[in-house]
Amino acid sequence: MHCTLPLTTGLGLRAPHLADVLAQRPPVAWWEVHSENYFGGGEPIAALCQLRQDYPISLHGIGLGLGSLGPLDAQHLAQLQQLVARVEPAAVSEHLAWNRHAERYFNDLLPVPRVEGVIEHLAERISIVQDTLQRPILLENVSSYVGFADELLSEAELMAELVRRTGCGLLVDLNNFYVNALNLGLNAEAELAHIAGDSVYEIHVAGFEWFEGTAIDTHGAPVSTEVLALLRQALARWGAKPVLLERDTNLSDFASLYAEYCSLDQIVKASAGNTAREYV
Amino acid sequence: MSYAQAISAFSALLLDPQAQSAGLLHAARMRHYRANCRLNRIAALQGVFSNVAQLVGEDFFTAMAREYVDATPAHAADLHAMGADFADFIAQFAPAAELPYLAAVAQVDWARWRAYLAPDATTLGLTELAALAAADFASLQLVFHPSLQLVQSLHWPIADILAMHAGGPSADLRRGGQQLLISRRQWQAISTGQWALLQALVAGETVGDALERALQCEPDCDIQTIISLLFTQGLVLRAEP
Amino acid sequence: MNKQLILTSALTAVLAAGVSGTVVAADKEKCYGIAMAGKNDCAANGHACAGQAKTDKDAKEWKYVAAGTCVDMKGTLKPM
Repeated sequence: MHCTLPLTTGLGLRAPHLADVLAQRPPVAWWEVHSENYFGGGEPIAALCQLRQDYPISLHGIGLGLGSLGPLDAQHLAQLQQLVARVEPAAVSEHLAWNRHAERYFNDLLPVPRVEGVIEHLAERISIVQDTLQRPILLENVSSYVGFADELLSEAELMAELVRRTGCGLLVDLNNFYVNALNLGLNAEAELAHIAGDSVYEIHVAGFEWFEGTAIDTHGAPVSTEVLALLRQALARWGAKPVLLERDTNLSDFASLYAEYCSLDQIVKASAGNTAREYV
Repeated sequence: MSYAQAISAFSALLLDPQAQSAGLLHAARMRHYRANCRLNRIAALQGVFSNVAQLVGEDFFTAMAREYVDATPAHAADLHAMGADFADFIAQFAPAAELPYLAAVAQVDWARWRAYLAPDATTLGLTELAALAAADFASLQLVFHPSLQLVQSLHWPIADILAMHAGGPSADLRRGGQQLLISRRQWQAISTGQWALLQALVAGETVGDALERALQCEPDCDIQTIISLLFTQGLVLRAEP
Repeated sequence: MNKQLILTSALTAVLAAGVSGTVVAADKEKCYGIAMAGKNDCAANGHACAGQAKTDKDAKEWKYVAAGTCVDMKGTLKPM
C-alpha cells in the first residue's frame, strides 16, 4: 500500500494558519490538506511544496464525487493527478460521496444510497482513479443526515467490500460514524467491527455541533468524549494508526488548535501503548 | 430502487423541497444539505469578491450571492472555479442598480483571483532576452504568463477604487474609466495606449503591429515603461517569430 | 522617437534592470503584491469537508441596503 503516513497524530492544515505554520514549523508529525485548495499555481502550492520538504503531507480530496452518476469529472481528476505528481504525498484520500447530477454540481459531500448497483458503480470509479494516479487511494466514510429505505448493507460493510474489490485502503472517520449514530440510530461500534484493521491506513477525528435537532459534522468544536472513546477502542483493536485532527469552522488562532492537537496526541500515544496488552 | 434512481430522487429533493421523497428517510433534514451547498458557494464568492463585499457590506453581499447561486447552477466541484459570470449577474441585478460601478469592481476581483491561482509557468530568462534585443523584436509575438489579466472599465475608476481598498485615498467616481494590468505580483493602472498595446499582444499580434495600435490610440503613449514592466515582472514566457 | 528606437530602448532598459537583478522569475516569488492574503485568503478557508450549522436565510425576505464603503454627495467613495 502506497501510504507512508507516520503512525502518530497529524493535523488538518487550513489556509488561515498556513503563514504561521510556515514561519514557526511546529512539531506536528504530519499535515493533511484539502487537495482542491492547491489545484492552481502560485502562492498556495508554493507554500505546500515548501512544507512538503519538512513534513509528510496527506492530500484529502473533497470534490471527486466518486458516487456521482456518469463518468468521473475528467478535468478534476487531471488536476488531482498533477497535484499528486507535484507533491508526492504520503497518502491520497477521497470520500465515499457523490456531488453531481445532470451536469449540476452540489458543493457538499452527499452520502451514497447503498442500494442495488452501488458496489459495482463505486468499484469501477475507484479503480479508474487508482489507475490514473498510479497508486491506491484511501476511501473515507461520510456523515449522513438522511437515510434510504431498504439499504443492502451498512456503510462500513460497503467500505470493506470496496477494499476487497479495488485494493483501496480505508480512512475511518470516527466522528462521521458517531454523527450517523446520533442522527440515524446506527451503532458506531458495530460499524467499526465490520472493518479489518489491516485495511485502515488513517483515522479522522473532529467535533460536531447540534443544530435544529440534527448533529451536524461542522468540524467546529472540540472532539466529543464519545468520539475519543471510539478512538481508544479503535486503536486498541487495530493497533497504532495515523490519526488526524480536523478543524474547519469556528477556527481560532493556530496556538489554540495546536494545544488541542497536543492533547489528542497524548491520547493517541497512550492508546497505542495499550494495544499489546489488550489484544495479544 | 436502483442506484441511479436513488441518486435522482436525492437530487430532486436537493433542488425542490416539495419533490417526492421516494425512499428517503428523514427527508426534512435535506435542508441541511441545501444550506451547505449554498453556504459553501457563498463563502467561496466572499473570498474571491472581497472588494465587492467591502463596497456593499456583508449582509448585502450574502443576499446578492445567494440569489446568484440560486440562479446559476454550479458547473464544477472546485469552488475556486466559481464566479466567472458574477460580474454579469451584478450588472443586471436590480438591487445593485444604485451602485453602477459594482459590476466593474467584480470584474477586477475576478481578474485578481484568476491571476492569484493561474498555473505556474517558466518565464523568459536574461540570456533569451539579450538575444531578443539583437533580433528583429518588432516582428515577434509574445506569449504571456497565464497570470496576466487585463481589465478595462469605460466609466469607472477601477484602479482608484482598488487603491482605496488597499488603504489609499477616497476614489472620485467622476474621474471616468480606467484600465488595469493585473498579475500575481502586482496590479497597476495603465493608459489607454498601453491597454491597446497589451490587448493586441494578447490577441497574438506582433510587437510592431501592437505598437502601431498603441500610438494610434494615444500618440504620446509611454511604451518603454510598459514593455519594461512586462519583462521585469516576469510576465513574458516566450517571444516567437 | 521612431518605432524601432522605442522598442530598442525599451529592451535595453529591461536588460539594464536585469543586470541589476530586478528581473523576477515568476515561480520563485515569495511576496505577492496582490493582497489575496490578508483580506481574502486568510478569512476564507477554501474547500472544507465540514457541514455548516447555519440557517440559510432567504434573500427575498430581506431589504437590500448597501452598508459597506459609502459614497458622498459629490460622488466620492470613502472607505469605512
